[in-house]
Amino acid sequence: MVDTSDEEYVRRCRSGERGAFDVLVERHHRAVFNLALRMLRDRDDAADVTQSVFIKAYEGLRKFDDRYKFFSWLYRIAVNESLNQLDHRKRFDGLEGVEVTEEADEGTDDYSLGREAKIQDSLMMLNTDQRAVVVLKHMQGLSYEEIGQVLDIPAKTVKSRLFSARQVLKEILKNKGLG
Amino acid sequence: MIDAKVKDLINRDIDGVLSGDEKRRLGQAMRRNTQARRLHEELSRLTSALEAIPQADPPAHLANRIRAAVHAGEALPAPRRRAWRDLLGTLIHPSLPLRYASVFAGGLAVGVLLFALFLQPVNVATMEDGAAAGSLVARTETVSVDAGGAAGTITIVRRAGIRDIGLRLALPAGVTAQVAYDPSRVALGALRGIETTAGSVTVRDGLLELTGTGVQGCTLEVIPRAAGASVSVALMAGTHQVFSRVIPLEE
Repeated sequence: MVDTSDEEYVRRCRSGERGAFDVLVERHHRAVFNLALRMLRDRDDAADVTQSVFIKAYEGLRKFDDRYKFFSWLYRIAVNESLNQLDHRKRFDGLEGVEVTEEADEGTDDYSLGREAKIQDSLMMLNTDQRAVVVLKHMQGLSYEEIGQVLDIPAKTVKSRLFSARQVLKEILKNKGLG
Repeated sequence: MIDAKVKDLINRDIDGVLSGDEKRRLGQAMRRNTQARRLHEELSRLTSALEAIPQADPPAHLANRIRAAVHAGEALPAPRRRAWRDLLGTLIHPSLPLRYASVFAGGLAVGVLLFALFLQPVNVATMEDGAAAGSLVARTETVSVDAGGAAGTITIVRRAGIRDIGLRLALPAGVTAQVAYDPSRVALGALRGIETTAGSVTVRDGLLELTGTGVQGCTLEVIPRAAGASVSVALMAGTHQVFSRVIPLEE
C-alpha cells in the first residue's frame, strides 16, 4: 500500500478536498499534543494549543511553503502557540500558581513516574529556547536541520543551543539527585 | 579540563552524528581524559532518560474536536480553566476604554433606577402570557440529512436561553453522528429521548457521539454561555467527515 505523503494531502486540501486535512489531523495531532505538553507541562493547555495549531495551519495552508516539510511547519506553529500560552500563563501567575495536571499512563510504576516527573520539572526550569531544542531533539526525534527549520535558526545554532541546554539540564538533574 | 573540540565531539556522538574518524579521535581523547569520559557518561544517561519518557496519549476525542473546530471555521475558544483569571485580570487592571465604559454603565444604572421609581411596576403576568411573551415562544428549525448512506433530521428548538439539538437519523454501519461543542462556551443540560437499536449515546469532553445501525435518536439540551457560541453536528465514516453543519446558538 502506498503511504500518501503529507504534501499530497496539503495539495488536495488546497484544491478543496475538505477531508484531506482530517488525515493530517489524524496523523499529527498526537505528536503536536506531546510537543505542547512537554513545553507546557499541562494536559489541558496542551490540548487547547493542539487545537489552535491545527486551526491556524488550516487557515494558513495557502501560505505553506512547499519547500519545507509539512510537519516542520506544523511544529513551528506548535512551538509559537506554546510560547504564547506560556506568556499568557506568566501574565496571570500572580493570580494563580501554575497547575500541573499531567496524568500518569496506566502501568507506569512509581519509580519511573517520579523520575519522569523530575525530568519534566527540570525541563520547565530551562529557558524556552533551550527547552524547545531539547524537546524537539530528544522527544520528537528531529535532526539539527529539521529543528533549524522549525525554529527558523541555523543548524549550527541548534547544535550550540542543544549542547548548552543539556549541560544546564544535567546540573539541574544532579541537584535533584538524578545526575 | 575538557578541550572545546572534545566537548563538541562528545555532544555530537550523543546525537549520533560522528563520522568513523571522529569516533576514533573521541575514543583516544576519552582514554586520555577521565573528565571527558565522565561527561560522555553523564550526557548519555541524560539523553537516555529523556528519550525513555513515553509519548502521552492525547485526550479522547481531541482529533474529533479539532476536526469539528477546523470545519466549523470557529476561532479558538479561550482556554477553559483560565477564563475567570482573564476576567479577574481585566477587572484588576482595566483598560482606559473599560474605565470609561464602567463609569457610563454606572451612571446608566443609577438613571434607570431613578426612572423606575417614578413608573408603574411592569405587569409580569402579561409579559409571560402566550404570544405576547415573544422570546418565550419556542422556534423550531429542521435540517434534513442525506449523506454517506445516513438519512434523517436534525432539529433545533430555540426557547428562552436553552436550545434543544435533536437528532433522528438512520445510520449505516460504520457511520457515527457527533455533536461537538466547546464546554467553556456551551453548558450541557439534559440528554433526553434516547432512541437506539444496538447502538450507544456517549457524552464526554465536549462531544456527543451516537453510534449504531438503524434509527438512532436523542435530544441534547444546551445552554449558550458566551457570545458566538455554536455546536457542530457531523457524520463521520471512520476518519472521513461525510456531513457537517454548524449551528449557531444565538438568536
